Amino acid sequence: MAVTTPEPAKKTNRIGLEPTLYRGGKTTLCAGCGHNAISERIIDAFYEMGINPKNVIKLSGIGCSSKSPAYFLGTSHGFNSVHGRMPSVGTGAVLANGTLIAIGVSGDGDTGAIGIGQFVHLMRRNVPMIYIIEDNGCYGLTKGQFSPTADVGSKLKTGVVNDLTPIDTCALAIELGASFVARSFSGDKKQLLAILKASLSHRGTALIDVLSPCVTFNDHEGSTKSYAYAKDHDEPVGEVSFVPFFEDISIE
Amino acid sequence: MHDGSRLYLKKVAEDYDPTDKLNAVRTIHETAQRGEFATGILYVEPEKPDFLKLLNLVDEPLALLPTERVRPGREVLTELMDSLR
Repeated sequence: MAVTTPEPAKKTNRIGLEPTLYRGGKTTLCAGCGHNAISERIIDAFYEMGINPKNVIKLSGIGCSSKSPAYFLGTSHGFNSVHGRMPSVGTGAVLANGTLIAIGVSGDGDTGAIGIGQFVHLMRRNVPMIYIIEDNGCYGLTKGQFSPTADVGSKLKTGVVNDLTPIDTCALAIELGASFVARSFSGDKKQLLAILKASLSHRGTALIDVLSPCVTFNDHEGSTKSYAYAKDHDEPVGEVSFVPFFEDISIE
Repeated sequence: MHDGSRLYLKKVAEDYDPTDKLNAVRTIHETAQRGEFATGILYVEPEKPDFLKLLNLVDEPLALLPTERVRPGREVLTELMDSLR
């Protein structure tokens, strides 16, 4: 007698959607790029929070970071804008349709240089959107020149040392009026996931600056945005844990 | 949080209050001076009204609003003109 084993139940989240719906295209970024780890955490956060990707709009500017929305939430709305102009496009989108959950991905150049004027006004307006800066301290798409978040004394692969004062995007955002400001490291899965989940529950601008090493141009000795440097100099202000409204608290 | 979720911040090295704006900025600069970078939720102000609320926008997408809700009638225009005379 033939024995038929029932098919295992498909894994779904609290709104009945499968994890594959939260994925995007295959990444074309370098292997080991911190941006890919951030995309993975975004996928995890939206899946675990049970957010329908069809209610989401992904926004970006130009740069390696700004390519990354193609690699998550493949069924969401998306707008890849002009360099540094993502904030105004995002503002327009949420004003026209406040039911959308907006997530913007930018880079340290797209935010700190080309789009600094737009960034400033997005923060002071407290536009309801998540704004992620994938911060590697360099322009990876154009061979690794220093960006405005590069630290004083940081060294390029060519030996050039940066002597310009960096822009601290978190300090600037707080000064300007952002209502949720966080910093994380792409290599810290647990902390980044908790911060992303918390940002999804926030109403207002949630700025998350994520140190995301560029493995091709800014991961060498002398860089202050490398994996090794970040692991040694990361100083958490506290342990972040987030309990969504639909989960009970359990004591470990 | 607005939707009923709860955010817990476990203090590690120091007594960190993420609602204290001045302390948040001080912490960012002090850690940077030491060559380190502070991570976590540095600042949060959950009750601050967002841009949509400040503009008094409706909840529905603007594209779905019927004409009668986006185009004032002749009486409204007349009333407005009268108020300016």
